[in-house]
Amino acid sequence: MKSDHFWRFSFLGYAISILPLIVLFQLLRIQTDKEQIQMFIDQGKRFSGYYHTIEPARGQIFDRYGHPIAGNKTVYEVGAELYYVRNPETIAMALSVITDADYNDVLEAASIPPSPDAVYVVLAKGVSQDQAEQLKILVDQMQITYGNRKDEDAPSLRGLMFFPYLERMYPEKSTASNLVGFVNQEREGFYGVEAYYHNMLAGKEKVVWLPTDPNLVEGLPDTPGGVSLVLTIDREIQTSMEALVDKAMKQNGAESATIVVLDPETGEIMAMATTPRMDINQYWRYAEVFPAPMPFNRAISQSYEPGSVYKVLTMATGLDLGVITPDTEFIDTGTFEIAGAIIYNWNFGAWGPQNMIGCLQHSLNTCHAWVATQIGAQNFYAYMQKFGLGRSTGIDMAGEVSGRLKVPGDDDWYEADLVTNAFGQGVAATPIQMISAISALANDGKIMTPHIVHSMISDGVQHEIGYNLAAEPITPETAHTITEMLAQSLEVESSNALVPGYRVAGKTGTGEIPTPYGYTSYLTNTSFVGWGPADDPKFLVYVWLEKPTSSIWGSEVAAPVFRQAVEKLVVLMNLPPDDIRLELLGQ
Amino acid sequence: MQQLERFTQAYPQAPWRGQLQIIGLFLVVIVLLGLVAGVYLSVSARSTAIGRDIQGLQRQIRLLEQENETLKSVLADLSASRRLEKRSNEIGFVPMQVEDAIYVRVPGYSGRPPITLAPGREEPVVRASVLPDEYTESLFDWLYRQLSPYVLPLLEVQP
Repeated sequence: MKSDHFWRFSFLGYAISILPLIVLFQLLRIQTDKEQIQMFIDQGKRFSGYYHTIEPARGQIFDRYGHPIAGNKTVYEVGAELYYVRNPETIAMALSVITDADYNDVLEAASIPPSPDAVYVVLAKGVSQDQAEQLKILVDQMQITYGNRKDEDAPSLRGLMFFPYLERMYPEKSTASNLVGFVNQEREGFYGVEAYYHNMLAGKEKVVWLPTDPNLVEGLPDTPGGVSLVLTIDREIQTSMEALVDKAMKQNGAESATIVVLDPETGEIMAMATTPRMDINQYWRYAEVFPAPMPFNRAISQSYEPGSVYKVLTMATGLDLGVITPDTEFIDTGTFEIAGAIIYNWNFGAWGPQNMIGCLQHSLNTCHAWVATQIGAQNFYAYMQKFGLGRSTGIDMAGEVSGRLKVPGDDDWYEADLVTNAFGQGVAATPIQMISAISALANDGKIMTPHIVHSMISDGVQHEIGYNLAAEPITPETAHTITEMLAQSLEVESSNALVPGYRVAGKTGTGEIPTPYGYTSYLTNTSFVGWGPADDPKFLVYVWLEKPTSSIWGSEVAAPVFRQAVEKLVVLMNLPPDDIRLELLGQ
Repeated sequence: MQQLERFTQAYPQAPWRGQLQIIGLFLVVIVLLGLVAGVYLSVSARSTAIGRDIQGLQRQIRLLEQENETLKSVLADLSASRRLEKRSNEIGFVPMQVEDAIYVRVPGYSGRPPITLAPGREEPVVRASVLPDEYTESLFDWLYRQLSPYVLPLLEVQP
């Protein structure tokens, strides 16, 4: 009996002993198999938590008085968890009706069979809060109505997921769009302030590991939001200048129009209006509104031959060097010849004896060509470089181009260039370069670096940027003299730029447009630069109308626009007429 | 001595006494283990519940931050210039012209300054303690302070 059962008990005993040994062996095998170790570690990690990217809110942008120019709003990413999707057609229909998503695209995405590699699919991004709410209500209603049906055709929005995130929004739509730029879906800044200050505005993303085990939960790291910016522009001035460029462009049949308003004392841009503009909330329309090679902001990204507005720089240089005075006489015979080139006046006329005020008043090319020869090429170009021409101004906006100033020694510089450059031909500059250079004349000879950001708000503290002296090309005396000469020349010619009650200094410009065959185009670039009040300039305005068809002359096209701009400016800046201002100052 | 002998003699005669002791000891261990497990479970459950709350709050913070940004954007949209202009026109306002302006001198007013949305960088301020000495000094300090008016003049070297 005993021997009969012995082998059975022995077998059972061995079997029971071997089983733990097998388990032990398997444990040891797993512990030593590197691939399996990694697989189990990965599996453990996959289910023990998830990586979460903390994206700080992008900094806001305000105008100088705190009106919001750019902010953020919550939108949703709508996706589908493929394992739970029951009816892709219903999902495609709902999204196409409520969010304008393409039916076929959504259907294709939602119909992907679930697999370990295909768990979730994005169906629509940038879905507004209202649309997301409508979808959520629809999901609930469908669940209540059709939730119990087991047939495959039953309408169902199961599997829809909603993930909120912040998207850039611009409450002013197209206002100041050219200088603000925009942020795309990938949160990259393009053009203007958005691109220039992108890293500061965006803040620093942080990727953190969030455990699903609540016992392992830890405090999230401090992630400060992006830096907010207070711009130098005044929303009201910007809006009115934009209305003015639109009106001027339309009235004059111009290809484009640009107005830049600058505070010469500080270099602050008060307004920068140009055409075209777009609602930057719809940044995807960029290529449609700005077909290549049209620049996003002509004021900083398009150089052109400015024509006679450039003469103020030539005259200022001559005065500063002492080679001329306001009373220096020039006898205009109608032509001026140098190095084989013959210079004519704008009307091909001869104006006889003129002092320098007369030269400015009648915008005589011959006179300015003569002044340039008195200055000499070396001095002339040294001054032009001090005025900042031929290089970017350093304005804090993305997309600035540097124009072109040929200088002696360049392969394409000829002696005749000295005299043509003197009246703004053969030299290319952007409106911001021109206004920056001419700001020296309105600010005691000093050029302050033009800038668009007044202050930054970071970690609850507002930091003022301050002002930066870029150059001091002429003396204060020269600046006052040329301002007086220009104010007188406007008054004497009863210019269209004169503003009743306010004494302003300024100069018209009519620039011919070069073509591959020379200056053969019948179209021109018309400009006007002016500042006021002449005795204590508070604003400097640069107007440029590209290829107007109403008239080719700056005095007829750009000067009236300057006057209208100043009429708006003095109201918005609370600048009283000169007599009242002086009376108030005397009190 | 006799009592001890009687006591040791009684044990072999009543083995249940020893068993009772072992059972008692075992029960004590069980109860202690139960207590420890209970306390551990309680603390662990509370910690888990709090952990869940924290996770929920973290999510709520994120949502509230987004909501905050959205509310700012709603406010920005409501105060956009085109809306203000439309409302102004509706209630009969018209844009001011140069000739409409009347200027008066306001002493001390130097024009509208740019907005201040946050305080500027503050200079470091040396903060003096507002607590009286009695709250911070030791007993010896107090004693020294009390006696010093009387003792120090005596210690001063007279010329």
